[in-house]
Amino acid sequence: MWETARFDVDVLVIGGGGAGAMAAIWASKEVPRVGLVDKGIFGKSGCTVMGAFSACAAFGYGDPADNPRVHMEDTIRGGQFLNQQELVKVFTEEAPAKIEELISYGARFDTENGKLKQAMMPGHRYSRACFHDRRTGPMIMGTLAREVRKRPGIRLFEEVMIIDLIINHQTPHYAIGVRWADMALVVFQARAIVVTTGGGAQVYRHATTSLDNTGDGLSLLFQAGAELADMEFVQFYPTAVCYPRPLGLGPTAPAFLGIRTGAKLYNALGEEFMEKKMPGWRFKATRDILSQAIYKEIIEGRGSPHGGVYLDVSEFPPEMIEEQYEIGNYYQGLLRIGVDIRKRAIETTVSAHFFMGGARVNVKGETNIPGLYAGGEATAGYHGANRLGGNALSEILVSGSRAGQFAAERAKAVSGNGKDGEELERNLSACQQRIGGYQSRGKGIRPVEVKKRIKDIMWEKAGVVRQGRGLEEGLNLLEELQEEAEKNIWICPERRYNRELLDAFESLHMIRVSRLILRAALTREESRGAHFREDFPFPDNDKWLANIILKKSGQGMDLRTEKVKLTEMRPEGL
Amino acid sequence: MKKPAPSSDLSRVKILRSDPEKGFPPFFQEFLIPFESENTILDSLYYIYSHLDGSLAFRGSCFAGGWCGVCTVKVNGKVLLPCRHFMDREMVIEPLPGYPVVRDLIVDFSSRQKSNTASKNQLQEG
Repeated sequence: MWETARFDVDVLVIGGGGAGAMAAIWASKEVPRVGLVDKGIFGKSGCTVMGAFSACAAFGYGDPADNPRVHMEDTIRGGQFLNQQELVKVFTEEAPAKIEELISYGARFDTENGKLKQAMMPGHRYSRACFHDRRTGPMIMGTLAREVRKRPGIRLFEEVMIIDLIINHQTPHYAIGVRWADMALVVFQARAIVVTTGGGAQVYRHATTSLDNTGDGLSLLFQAGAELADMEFVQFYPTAVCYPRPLGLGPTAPAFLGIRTGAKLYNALGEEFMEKKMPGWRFKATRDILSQAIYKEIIEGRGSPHGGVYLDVSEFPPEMIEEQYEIGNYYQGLLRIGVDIRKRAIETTVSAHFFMGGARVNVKGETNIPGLYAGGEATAGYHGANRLGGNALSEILVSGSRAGQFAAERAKAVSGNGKDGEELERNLSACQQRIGGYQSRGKGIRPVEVKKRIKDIMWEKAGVVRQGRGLEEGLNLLEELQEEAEKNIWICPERRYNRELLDAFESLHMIRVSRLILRAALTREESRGAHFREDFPFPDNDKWLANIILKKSGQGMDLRTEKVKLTEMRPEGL
Repeated sequence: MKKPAPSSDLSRVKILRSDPEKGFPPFFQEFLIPFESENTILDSLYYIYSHLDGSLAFRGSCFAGGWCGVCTVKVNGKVLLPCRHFMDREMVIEPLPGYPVVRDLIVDFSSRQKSNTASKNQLQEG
């Protein structure tokens, strides 16, 4: 009944976004056989293609005073000192070279007088955001996809979802995947594995990410025994699309109505709530502070009809609006669907946007498991407790390249076949039985229902504003849901392109990842960056200048905290 | 099951379903779903998938209005990105023409590498 395909590679990259593409390119410079597995269609799935604006790199074109050291300091301040400073150092030092590497592959960033244009982003001291109109992500991903397809050493496996990793010490690892097209199981023997599957913001009811951003890689890493850190830090985007939906402009488009240029933010009572909470907020409020304030307005009943708050530029002269907000066709785009921002406000809301947490890695992208690497949003440490805008698209280039390069080096030192062939066969038949079980049940819980419940639990219990009791309730609810889902998930019997099959595996990954978030959030009894505890509303530098690290232990998890190493800079006053 | 009478609150969606592997001829299946003016055509497909028929095969990744481009189908005779258009009260949805159909709205893009330009135009609408 089951077709199984087997492949032998030097390096297997799991996840085909920007970090995965860079990992594959860099691995292919060192070893002849690189596999790149994408759950969707390579070059199109994942979140890199959704990056509207910018990739920050300290070239110093915007201001000659800028340099990687200042970029590092800004990033660590933005991350409220929870970043792994050695990672931030390599990221900011190598970001300009990575942008130049992209240009050498044909990337087209906007230029001015023969040099890259550099825009200002909040939290950055100087203009250092490189961009291509408001479609920087698609431009970068298109460039990388073409480059990957040019390299004969990289073999693409599209619409394949990895569902199991088997870690062998000293010998190659195995990864088992399921091919969406025909449900065949695909086995990879790989001398090193790089996980670049991004974060998992889809565990929340509202998210700005692509639907496939379900934390699969984080769940696989955890199951394989890798350490994950900073899982409590989920960035929420304060001004995401709510109403109306300007199709084609992306989920973060309302940010084009720049708050710093004077856009007003008010609640259903017409109050400018930020003025009260934080005088001078326009230039001070980072994504975390705005998100908390907006979330409070909504959950305390002062939200707009569609569940957001109002963002308004209508007080400005019409000519100024027509000119200033035509960035990325925003003004015209809204006008086309009948919304005239010269005359009325739009509604915006808070949405889960980015995971600062992920695999705990060193500067080579290595996890604690030999031969297992991670890059991009699937890693922790680059952004600390909160990420600055514009740092994701450049960080994934650096961390992805490094993971690919060092994984290839490791692959060269490993030879022979995977040690435990018996374990592989056992796991393969376990995977077959699981899928067969899901399909033959005839009744039970559908995977979309499991996903919906996860999203509701996480939104209500581990959202922007958290407290101990809610987090505990969330943990209990998810434990029950996990038990029910593992026992009763039921999918349709189709063999080809069975969407429920992917949803089933994704929902189980999402539960695991959600439990990690809840557990870490419950442990961190302070508020810092994107993690806000109503019952512990202030940062506690004495106790919590530390990372929470989670690792699988039997059926449960081990939790430890580790003080941040302040090798490059210390918080003011410490 | 008795179908609810079409009203202004409902949308009638006809989807061309097929499974060449199983060998039955392609047929239009009709679904009645709530009409929500703020929902896209892709949202309608997801609604049908999650509430009415879990076996519906279609692609969609970004769900955000034309960033990824994998959801392209033909709606009321026009090739478009269903995530970039609001739903209608009457919709006839068929797979993207010019490619072999694998099942329902899923076509085999793998021939795309050979004719890169043609597929590019279809995938990057607008």
